[in-house]
Amino acid sequence: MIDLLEEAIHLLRRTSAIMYAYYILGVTPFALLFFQLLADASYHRYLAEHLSNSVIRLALGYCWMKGFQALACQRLLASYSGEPVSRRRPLELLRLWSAQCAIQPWGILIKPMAFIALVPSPFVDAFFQNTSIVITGNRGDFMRCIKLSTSKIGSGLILNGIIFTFHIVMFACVYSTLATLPFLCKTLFGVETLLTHNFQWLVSVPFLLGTGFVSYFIIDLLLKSFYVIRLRRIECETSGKDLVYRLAELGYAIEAGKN
Amino acid sequence: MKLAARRCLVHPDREAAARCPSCHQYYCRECVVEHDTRFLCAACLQKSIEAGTSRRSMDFDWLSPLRLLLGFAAAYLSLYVIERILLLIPVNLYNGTWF
Repeated sequence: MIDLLEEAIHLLRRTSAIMYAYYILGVTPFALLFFQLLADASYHRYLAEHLSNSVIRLALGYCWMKGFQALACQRLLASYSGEPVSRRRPLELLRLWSAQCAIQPWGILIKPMAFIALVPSPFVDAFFQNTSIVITGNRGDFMRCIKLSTSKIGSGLILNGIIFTFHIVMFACVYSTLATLPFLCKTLFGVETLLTHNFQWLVSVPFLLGTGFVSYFIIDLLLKSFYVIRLRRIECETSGKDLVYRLAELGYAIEAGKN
Repeated sequence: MKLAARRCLVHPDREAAARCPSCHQYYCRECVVEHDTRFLCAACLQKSIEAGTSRRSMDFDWLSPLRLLLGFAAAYLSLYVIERILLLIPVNLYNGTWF
């Protein structure tokens, strides 16, 4: 598992900037909408007033984000496997986007429920992560995704444990950073804000939700990188595709050496 | 001329085992692949796949808007449930005034 972690970080380092652009382009609107909701609903009595409008905006933002995340995963997979990225036509993009939208939103409810039930959690997590990578709207993608998610469920359980620990550590880091910032400003620059007058906001639900949201998205890209490598390894065990590409690369290298 | 008397285009030392229905050349068993109940050579198979992919990608999938709508509805429902759950949290716990 440690080598998988190292490889995932290495993959994130060597992948193209376009992948990061896709990811940021997808996540930013959703994050802004989410923070707007948190700001609007920072007091309990305002939450009900903003409910219907904010839900529509957030749902649109979520669908937008999942489409871009799928494109980012395609890039990540391409940079790991070495296969060329084919340029998608608008209709292909529409098909990919619609296929992602049809599946991913169910994860908002199913993932927490699976986490509470504990047992199906590795399968459910793997399924929704694999959906981002595998499902492009072509026939047979769904069954391929299920097949990939059910294989090596034991290692998925360990992976989930590691990721959960990462989430806890990241949450603690982000929480402590955000919590100390107003007091640091007060100490260093003498800036008095509402946040330095009391400590209640430190345990309020909007602040905890915001912190959880930020820490989730810091880990998310690493998680996607994990699953790209895992998926590729599982598929290559039977197809030997990785060896074919390595041989092709060697062939090109030899040709280049000759010339 | 009989098929057995023919030689593979890629491996001239081997007997031909099939004739590609697309390019009409002869190939040994190793050089042909079964695709859609036909034995095709590697080059024709690639062309056939590419043609199929481009044809598929040019076609408008009528299910796509439906899927988009379904996805939006699912996202709306899921986020609505989560926000409703947030409303169930007691005010003093939500605002942190219990602290």
